[in-house]
Amino acid sequence: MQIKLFLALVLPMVVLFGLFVNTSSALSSSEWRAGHIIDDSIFFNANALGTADTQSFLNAKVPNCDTNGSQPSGRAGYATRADWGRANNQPPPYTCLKDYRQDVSGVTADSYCSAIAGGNKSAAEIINDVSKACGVNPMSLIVTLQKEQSLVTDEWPWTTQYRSATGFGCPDTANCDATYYGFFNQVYYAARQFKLYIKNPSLYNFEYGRTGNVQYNPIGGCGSSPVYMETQATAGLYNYTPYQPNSAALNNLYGTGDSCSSYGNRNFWRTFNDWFGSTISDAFTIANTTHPDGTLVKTFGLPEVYMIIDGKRYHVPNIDTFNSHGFSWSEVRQATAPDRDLQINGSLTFRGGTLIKGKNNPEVYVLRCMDTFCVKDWISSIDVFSGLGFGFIDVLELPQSQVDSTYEKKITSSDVHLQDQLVLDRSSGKVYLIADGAKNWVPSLQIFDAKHFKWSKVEDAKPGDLALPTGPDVSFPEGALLRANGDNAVYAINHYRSLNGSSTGSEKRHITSAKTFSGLSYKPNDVFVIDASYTAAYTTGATIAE
Amino acid sequence: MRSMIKNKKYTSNRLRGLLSRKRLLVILAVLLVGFGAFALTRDNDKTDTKSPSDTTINTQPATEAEKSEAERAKERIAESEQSTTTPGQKKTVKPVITDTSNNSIKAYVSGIFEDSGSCTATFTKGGTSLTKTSSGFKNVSYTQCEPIKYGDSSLSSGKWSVTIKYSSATAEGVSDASTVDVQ
Repeated sequence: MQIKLFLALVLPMVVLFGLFVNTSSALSSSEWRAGHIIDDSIFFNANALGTADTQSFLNAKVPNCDTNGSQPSGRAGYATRADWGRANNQPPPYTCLKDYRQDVSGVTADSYCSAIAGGNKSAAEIINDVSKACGVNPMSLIVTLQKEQSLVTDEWPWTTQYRSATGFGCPDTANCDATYYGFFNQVYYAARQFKLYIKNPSLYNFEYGRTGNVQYNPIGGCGSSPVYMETQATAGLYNYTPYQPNSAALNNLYGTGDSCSSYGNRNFWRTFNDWFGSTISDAFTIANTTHPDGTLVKTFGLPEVYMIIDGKRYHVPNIDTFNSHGFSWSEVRQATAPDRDLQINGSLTFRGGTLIKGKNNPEVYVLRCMDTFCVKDWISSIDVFSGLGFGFIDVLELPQSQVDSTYEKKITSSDVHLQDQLVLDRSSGKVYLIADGAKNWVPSLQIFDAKHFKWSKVEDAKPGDLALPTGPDVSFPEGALLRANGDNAVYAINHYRSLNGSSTGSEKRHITSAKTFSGLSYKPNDVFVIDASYTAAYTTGATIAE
Repeated sequence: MRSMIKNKKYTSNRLRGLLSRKRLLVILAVLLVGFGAFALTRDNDKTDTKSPSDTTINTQPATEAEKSEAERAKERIAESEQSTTTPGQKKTVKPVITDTSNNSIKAYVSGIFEDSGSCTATFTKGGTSLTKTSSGFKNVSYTQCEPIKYGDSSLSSGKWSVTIKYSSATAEGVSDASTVDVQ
């Protein structure tokens, strides 16, 4: 009977607590990956916390600040913390991070961080201002403050800890450099430094997508091991603190290891995991090979997007150019280290068929383009313009300085659609691309998508269009990923190019492993699944492998 | 079939017994307390974080281990205040080579933080020796050597040994040897 009563009382409690108590388990050293301390998408996420969130977090970590240092010091000969503090030239009162404020003079923008306004600011405001200005996660900065000086959890921090809060300018066995003293300076220069590493990767020891030897400890004789830097943030952390934990430090994750241990990067990883959750969200290893031609690439943290053509990089100079090609951000891949070594060979131009006009003049031109060069034809009247199916919403208005009055052809008729226009033959249901004086059938929806064609741009075919000779079918563009139905092998399409840049043939390049596939930041949905006879028709080119 | 009905009846009798009015009240009270506690903890979570990723933010007060790390940070400061350097004497340092691939030598020098020094790579193979120099510059807490490029065909193909010597007004020292494989 009593057992029943006990069960009736306790079981619901057990069930309730079982459901609602935080079930997160302690971090294990086996989860440490030297080359992948943290994902870039996490480390550089400046919007992960706001100022109020940061303030709440700091409040929660230190509910009671020992402002007067009245707690026992725990050190022989010194009754209170204040006594020991005074002996080290650090008398009370002590200000905890949650209460800390500083007069900030502000900084101007440079190529690494945007400007930060001056004023009297709390620590939470400083952390968030710097985070937003430099594009670094406030969590990364909070953890850096903890890793370097334990400021976040300190109930009676010393002024020296604020002065050198992120360890910036503090060599291991010498005094700190006064140039970087002060809480604001410390947070600002730390965050900015991670941007320096992104912008000047080859200048520093450890480079994203490359292997470097990382020591275990500054003491000579403790050894090192090669570490492949799987993320930019990981390379940055090793550039910031060039040591990795040895097995003794990892085996005692919440304590000390041996005389060859170092703790900076271990503690960053451990503290981030403990406070803010996993440091790895989209676990993939960046591949050690270039992307195939026809791929858009971008280095994390840098604004420039490049298109790879013939093994060289072409800068996509502005958003108008990007949009004119119908690109979407989801197809911009993370540049690998070998990508970053590719020569920059100029800028990509607009897509052929783009309509432009200067800001101050009414003339509308249509472009005919190669990769890096366009000529413009003048559409001579509004009747011709509308007769070709164009609307003014399609016209890109550019600064007048970019649109001179020279043109190659004057378009005076709308009887035949122009180069790069799409037309629909309603009798056959076929969509054609007008190109090189011919009508070229777009034989599948996948090719239509892969070419970034838009249905809104498809015009009804005119008799003049259908009277054009039939050219070769439109094929997949360079860089398109294909897989035959029922086959797991994924290929990237490559076009041979003659010296003048025009395509002369196509081949398929096999991406030899799933690791390389994901390491090139491709996703399964990026692959067009087509009939096996279609992939078989391509000749086979060089493999894409590491 | 019969025994199953019997069992069913037995079970419902037991249930009825267990769920007498008194016990029902007790269970109800327990449930209410449990849900109250849950509601309170949920509410606390909300007021504490409010962030987009609040499901994973740990807003518990600092653990004892975290507090003791703060004490260790202070001890390191106390120790460094007491350490003295001898004026006029050059500090002995030991540069570290981190990478010799991609036609460049990467190295750094810990223990000093300055812009004024030079990093000299000495390449040796057989009786041949060759030097190349770059500048050191400040990086967070140490001195970084600018990468020393060697892919300019001044080194013949084969395996070369390389060391880095750092030299400045305040510090001096040579690294361990590393190997460079020139293609």
